Amino acid sequence: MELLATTAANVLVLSSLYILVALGFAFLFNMLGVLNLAHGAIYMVGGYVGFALAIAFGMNVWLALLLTTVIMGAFGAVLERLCFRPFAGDFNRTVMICVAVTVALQTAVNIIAGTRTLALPSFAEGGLHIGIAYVSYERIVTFGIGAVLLLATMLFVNRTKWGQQMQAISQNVEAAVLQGINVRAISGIASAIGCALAAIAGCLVGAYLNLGPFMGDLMLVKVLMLVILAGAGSTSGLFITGFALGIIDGIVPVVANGAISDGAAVIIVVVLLLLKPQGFFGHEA
Amino acid sequence: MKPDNRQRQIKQADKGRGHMENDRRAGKVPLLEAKARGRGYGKALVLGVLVAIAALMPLFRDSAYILHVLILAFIYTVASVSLRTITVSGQFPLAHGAFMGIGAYLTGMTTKWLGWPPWFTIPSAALVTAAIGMLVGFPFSRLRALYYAMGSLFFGIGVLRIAYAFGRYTGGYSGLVGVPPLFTGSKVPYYYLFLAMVVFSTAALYRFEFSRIGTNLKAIAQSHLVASSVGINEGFHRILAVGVGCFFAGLAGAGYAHYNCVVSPGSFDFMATMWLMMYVLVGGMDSFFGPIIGTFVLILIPESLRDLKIYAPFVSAVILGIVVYLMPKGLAGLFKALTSWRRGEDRGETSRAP
Amino acid sequence: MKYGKLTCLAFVVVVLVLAFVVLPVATGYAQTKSSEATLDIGLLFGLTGFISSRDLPDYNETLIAADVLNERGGVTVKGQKYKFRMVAEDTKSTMDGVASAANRLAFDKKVKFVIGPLDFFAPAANQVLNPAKVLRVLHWSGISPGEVDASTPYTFLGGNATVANALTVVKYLKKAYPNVKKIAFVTPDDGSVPYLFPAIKGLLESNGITVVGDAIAFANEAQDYSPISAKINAVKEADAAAQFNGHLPQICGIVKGLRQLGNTKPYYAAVPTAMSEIVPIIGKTAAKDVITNSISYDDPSIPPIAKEICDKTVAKYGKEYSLYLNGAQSLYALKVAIEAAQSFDTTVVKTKWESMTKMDTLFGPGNVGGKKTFGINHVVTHPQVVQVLKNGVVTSAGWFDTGMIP
Repeated sequence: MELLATTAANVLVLSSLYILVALGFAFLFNMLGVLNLAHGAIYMVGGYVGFALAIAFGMNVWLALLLTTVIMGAFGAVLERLCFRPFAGDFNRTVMICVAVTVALQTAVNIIAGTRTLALPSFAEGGLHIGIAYVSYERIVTFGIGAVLLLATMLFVNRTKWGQQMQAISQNVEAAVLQGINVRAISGIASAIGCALAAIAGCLVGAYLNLGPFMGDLMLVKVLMLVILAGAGSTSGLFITGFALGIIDGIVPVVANGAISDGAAVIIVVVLLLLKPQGFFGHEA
Repeated sequence: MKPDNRQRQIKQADKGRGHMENDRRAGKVPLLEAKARGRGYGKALVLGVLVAIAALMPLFRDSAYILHVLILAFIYTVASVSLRTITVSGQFPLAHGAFMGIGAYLTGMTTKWLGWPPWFTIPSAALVTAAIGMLVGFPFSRLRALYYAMGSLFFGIGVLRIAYAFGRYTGGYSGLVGVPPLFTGSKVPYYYLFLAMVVFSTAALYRFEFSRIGTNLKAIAQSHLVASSVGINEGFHRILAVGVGCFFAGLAGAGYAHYNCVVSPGSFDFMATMWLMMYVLVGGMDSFFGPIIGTFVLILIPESLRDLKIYAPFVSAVILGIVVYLMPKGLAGLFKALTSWRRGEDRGETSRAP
Repeated sequence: MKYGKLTCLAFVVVVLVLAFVVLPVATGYAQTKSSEATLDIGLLFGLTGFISSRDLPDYNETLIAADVLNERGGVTVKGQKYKFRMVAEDTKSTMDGVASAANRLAFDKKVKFVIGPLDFFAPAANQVLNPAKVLRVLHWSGISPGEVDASTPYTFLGGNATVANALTVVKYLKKAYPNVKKIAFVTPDDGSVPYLFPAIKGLLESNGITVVGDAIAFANEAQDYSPISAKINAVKEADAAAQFNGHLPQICGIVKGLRQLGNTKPYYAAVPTAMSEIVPIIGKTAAKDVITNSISYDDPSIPPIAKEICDKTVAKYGKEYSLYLNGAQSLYALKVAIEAAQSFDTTVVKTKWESMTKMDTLFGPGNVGGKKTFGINHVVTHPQVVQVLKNGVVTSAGWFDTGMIP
């Protein structure tokens, strides 16, 4: 019984973790049509920047989180200008530059900080007992922030002027230009938001689990699964696919032994993709 | 125009000689100029010279380390050229590394656990890999560009995870150890074997691409609706392209298994597939010889700069950066632009439209 | 698109020259020999890629160990002193990288003695080094086929590793937790489980500790370890849990998860990861009853040579650096073996080494064993220091003589 309750709590937290990390990627994918394969590296760098601010500069960890968001947002805008805009529409070259950026970032982090396993200071120590299960405050914080950001993103995309401009750009760039939308500025903002979201996720995971120069690689695969299953253009669909993946990754390691738990999620995703190639909640026909 | 004359011209066009050759035979263009502009003669000469150098290399430099690096380059060349062949049909399989892995595991497991002879298992593994590729390609061929890419990506990762899961047979994460080698002792027999494999594979894939089937593939890639309307069976051709590509991927993987004698899933994972893609893209996707150039550049240069130790990965990132910003058509595209610039033409193209 | 034609042509020429001319020529240059007599030792460590967090500190410590040993005269053969010269190659955490690095060391740099690579990378290098009769000392290994067994006559295991640490676990538990008789066996599922589990289980049971149930294996690429902690917690009959292989993120994740579930049983991570790295990650509330086989830099009972290596490492890299010293011990074992054989011929050294049952190590008198367990008498064991974390405070539980592996 205890195992059941614990597993349920694990599932919730895993889901929120995956959704959190996937949010930035999905944002860039839906708004700019860019498959940002460097997302894993940016998520990782965000975590390390947060660590540097919190430990090396001794900041309060929430303050470090805020500052990391700003820094990585700026980095995202620069990335858009240098790497995404010149190759917009050319999938091959976008992939190439993303691989180059990933390798460069990972190597740099590995050289500077890689030999020790690091973790951010906890956002909230302690926890509370819900019935027989014990849930740490850290998990609640992670879950909470994930949910809040997801809602905020959806609101931003649908209700604010900037969000609607981004939607317009993602639908038809020429028409958007004719409407007087400043495509360059909006693209930069979209990229900044996407990277900032990735950085927040990096910091939260860095506190909840730990940091590593290659943590982005594994997360990228999970994020891709989430976003493709949800379908292009859908942010709310992330909620469902994230939850599904959280269930699989929370339950399978408990019932099955060993390495099969890595594979279960991927196999299920492949089957689902064959059934519904456009994803379950996408806009595309 | 007489019917049989027209038939003959169509036949010759089908054989890929192009109209230049037909014009020459018709006496319209002098022989020398036709030879100079004809498809493949200049390139064949360059290739022949390179192969001859490669074949004679072991006589002059007997460092087993150089042979090893070149062998690796040969293996990955077979894989990257076959990857490009699939992309000619407009599909982007992101599972090529995994297919290499399938070939490697098949031959590794059958030779190690069942004791079958490698000379049998290597080609059979390639064939089975092709079959698996076609089987999987069948449902996947319905998917459009991005979803096909992602679907094949997940399939590739899934295959690897299955290899992890059945650890008792595949060796799991640590890999399959103790695959019997093909030759013991020196690397030189391996070198010639893989050189032969590269020559055979590129020749076969070249013929495949410039045959009528290859032209059909290119037609499908350009516009599948128009191609279907002309009577080209889209599904059949796509699956055939995948099958051919996967055959050579499996061949490369199987050869690798018996050279390395260790089959590790980490060699065939997502990043391996991405690097194969990088070899193709850096070399230039539009040109047949692009992947060859790309593979050699991206393997030989980081190897020769090994002494940079922890800074070495930056080299690959820099090469990628340079190619992506300065050379949209890759290194092969650069060659073409230079040679056509020298010849005074506007642009070089791989296929000449009638 | 218009290119800068000349610059691009120049680039292409440079590339071709590099690829087809420089590479063959550069690798043909012999190493410049210094005026002193030196012995080249090849190092196969993962300096980049995912294994670098484990290998890079070990590598740096091995370099320092070489300096320390050289100051003490290096290695003496037939009255002549030779200094160690380290020739390192990066394995890049991939099998291809391992094979290329091994090839370069054996055939290009022509070294006869090699240390590394780690664990499951070992078989790939063995395939290259064994036929070339290069004597290889692994600094950490499991018991999977192709690592150290009858098929690897020129490979030795230089110090305590997964199997040896099982003996330390037994001895420590007898001393500190005499009531603990049943433990849960936790391991990463990296393909070694079918070999590691029976071997260690057998060793444990022949010393009075039983393993409850099957091995609790977790996927190597798991991110969140809460499900695994839940599973371990559910094994109620076990009085403790132990892990014999794996690295820091896994240990921290599992311990953190266990403590959050209210599990207070001792957790023994029988690996040399630094306690100083574990404590900040698991947090104060979870910092209870964790045991590791690691060295603390301020432990006064470390023997002198090892102490000097630790001091120099701390001086150069700081106090929180993980002190693995696996590579350093492997280097020391090489020195002892070469001096025992009084020869640089690898076959002579190998024959001498495998005939020994006792051997001096960085940590005191040690043994050579493994005939029954590994199939070959090539496994060096040495005294092991154990560290305990209780209520956020790290203390040393003293040294335990591992004994000989049967």
